[in-house]
Amino acid sequence: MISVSILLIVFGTEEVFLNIPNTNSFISESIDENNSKPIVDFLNLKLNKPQINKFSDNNIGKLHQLELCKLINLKFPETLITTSLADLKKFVTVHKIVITKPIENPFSKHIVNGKDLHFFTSSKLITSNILKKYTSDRFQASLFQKYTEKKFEIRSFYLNETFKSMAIFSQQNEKTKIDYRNYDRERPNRIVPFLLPKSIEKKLIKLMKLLGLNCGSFDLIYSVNDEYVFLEVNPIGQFQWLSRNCNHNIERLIAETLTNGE
Amino acid sequence: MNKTYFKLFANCIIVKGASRATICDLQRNKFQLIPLSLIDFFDDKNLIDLEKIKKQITEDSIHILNEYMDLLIENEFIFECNLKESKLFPSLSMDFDYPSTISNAIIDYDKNSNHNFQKIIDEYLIPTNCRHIQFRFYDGIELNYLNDIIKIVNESFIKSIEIIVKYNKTIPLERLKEWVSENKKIKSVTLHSYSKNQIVQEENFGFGIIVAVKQEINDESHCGIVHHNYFNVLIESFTESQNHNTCLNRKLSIDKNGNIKNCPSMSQSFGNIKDTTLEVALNHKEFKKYWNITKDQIEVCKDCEFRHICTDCRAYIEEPENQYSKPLKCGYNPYTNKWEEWSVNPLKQKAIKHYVMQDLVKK
Repeated sequence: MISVSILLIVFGTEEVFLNIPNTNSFISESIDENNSKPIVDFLNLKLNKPQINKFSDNNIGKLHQLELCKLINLKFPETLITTSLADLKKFVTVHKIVITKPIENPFSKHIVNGKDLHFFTSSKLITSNILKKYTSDRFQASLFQKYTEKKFEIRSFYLNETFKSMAIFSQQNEKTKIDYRNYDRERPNRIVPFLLPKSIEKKLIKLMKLLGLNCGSFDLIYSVNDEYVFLEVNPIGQFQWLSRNCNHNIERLIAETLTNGE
Repeated sequence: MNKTYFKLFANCIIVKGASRATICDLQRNKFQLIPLSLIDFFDDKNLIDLEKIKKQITEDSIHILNEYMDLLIENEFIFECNLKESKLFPSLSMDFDYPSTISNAIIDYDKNSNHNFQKIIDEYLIPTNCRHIQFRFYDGIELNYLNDIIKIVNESFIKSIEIIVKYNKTIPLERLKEWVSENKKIKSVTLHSYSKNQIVQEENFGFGIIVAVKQEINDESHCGIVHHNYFNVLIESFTESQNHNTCLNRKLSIDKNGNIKNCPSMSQSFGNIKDTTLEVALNHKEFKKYWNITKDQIEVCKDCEFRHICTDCRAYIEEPENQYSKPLKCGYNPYTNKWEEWSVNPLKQKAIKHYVMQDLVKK
C-alpha cells in the first residue's frame, strides 16, 4: 500500500486527520495520455477571451473547499479523514450514522494482473454494526462525514454569479436515499426548479471567488432542521439533466457567456 | 409558521378542459385525468391548505377529499412543505427555446420520385441545424438504396431518423434487424403493407425499434391522425405547444415530387429542390404561416384537457376554409369526454370529400 502523508488540521471543534489531496486525478491523466498539454497551455493564454474555468481548475480539491466553507461560515457535515479504524469507531459513536465517499474522484483505476480495472464509487453508509465486521486496524486514507438527514437535495449550476438550481426529492425512495445516482428509472425522483435564498447565494459566490472559479455545480442538502448544508462544488459538473428537467436553458447561458452575448 | 401545506410539483401541470382536467406529469411522461372539482383545492400558488379545506366542506364529502389526496400523494404530484419553503419552488418556465431554425424534417418518396438525398441533406437540412428526419417510402425499396441514405446520415450531425417503408420481400426481416442494429441513428423503421401487425424488434433506449403494420401507407393523406397513442407528455413539447403549433413549428418537408413545403400534406409549395434554394423557400412570407397556431386558438381543441400534450394537423381540418377549425382526424369530444371513430362522423363527411379521402376512409 502507498504510504500517505498525514496532516493535522482542525475543523470546527473536531480534530481531524487529513491526507494530502490526491493529485492523480482522472482528468490530468487523460490530458497527459493525449499529450495535449501544449494545447491546454495555449488555451490558458487566451485569458482576454470569455472563458468558463480553466483546465487546471478541474483539480480543485474537495478538502480545500471544506476548509474555505469554515472561513465563510457555510455549514458542511462534520468530516473525518483517517486511516485508523479506532478513530473511525470514535467518530461513528459520536455521530451514529456516518457516510463514506471518495475523497476526490469517484472514478478510480487499478492495475490488477496487468489489466486495467475501473471502479465507480458512490456514497455508502457506515454504522457501528458494519464496523464490527472489520478487523484490520488500518486502511487506505478515507473520508467520512456525519450523515445529514435531509428533506431534499439541491443541485445548483453556477456561472458568473448566476444560479440555476433544482431540488431533488431523493428521500421518498429507498434506492436513492443515500446517493441519488442510484437512479430509479421507473419512478424517478422528483426534480423541480428551486430558488436558493439570497443569503446562501452570497456565501456560495464568496466561496467561488476564493476558489477562483467562475463556473461550477454545487451539491447541497436541505436538512430536516431547515439548514443548507454544503457538500461540494464540481468545476466540471454535468448540467444537461438539470437544464432539461427544470427548463433552465443553461446551454443558452453558456453560449451567450462564451460569445459575449454577440 | 410551520403549518403544513401541500404543493404541486412544478413539472406536474394541471390543464383544464371543458368537463374534466389532466395533470400532465412532464417528468414521468404520463398524464392523470382528474375531475374539475379537484382543481379548486389548489390556490393560485398551487398550494393545498388541507386544514382550511376540511373546515369548509361537509362531513359526507370528507371521503372524496381523502380519495383526491390519496391520488395526489400516490402519484407524487404534491409534497409537504411550510409556507416559507413553498416560496423557494418557482413554477416551471414555459419558455421554449431550440437551437435551430428547423427542428424536424419529412422527406417523402415513391416510385416516381427522383431525389438527390445528398443534396437534400447538405443544402436543405444541415444549414438549418435540423437533427431529426423522417423518411417515408410509399413504395418498396432496396436495402442498398436505404443504406446509401444512412451513410450520408451517419457522416452528418443528424441525430435520429425514422423510416416508413413498404414491406419488400427481397429484404429478409433478419437482415433488416441486423442493418438497423448496425446503424445507431435509426430511431424506428415502420414496414407498411405487411401481412400482419407485429413488433419485429424491440426498442433499445428509444432507438432501433422495427414494427410492421398491415395498413398501406401509399401517400401523404395517411398522415394527420390525432389520437392518444401519439400524445407527448414532455417538457419540450408542452412548452412548445404554449406558443407554437405542435406539428408544424420548425418543420420542413420535401414531398415526393421534390417540392419544398412546411408539410407534405399541404398543397402550398415554396418551390422545388430542382430550382429553389433553402433560403428562398424559408424566407417566403407564408412558409411559417402555421407555426404559431396553438391549440388554445383552435376551435374545440381550446376546450380540451389534452391540448398541450396532443399533436395537431393543419393540413386536414374539419372546415377546410377555416384555419382555426379542429383537426379532421380527431375523434375526441372534450365536452362529452368520448373518443369516437372520426371517419364515420356525419359532420366530417364534407371535409373528407373535399380532401378526396373517401377511399382511405373505407379501408
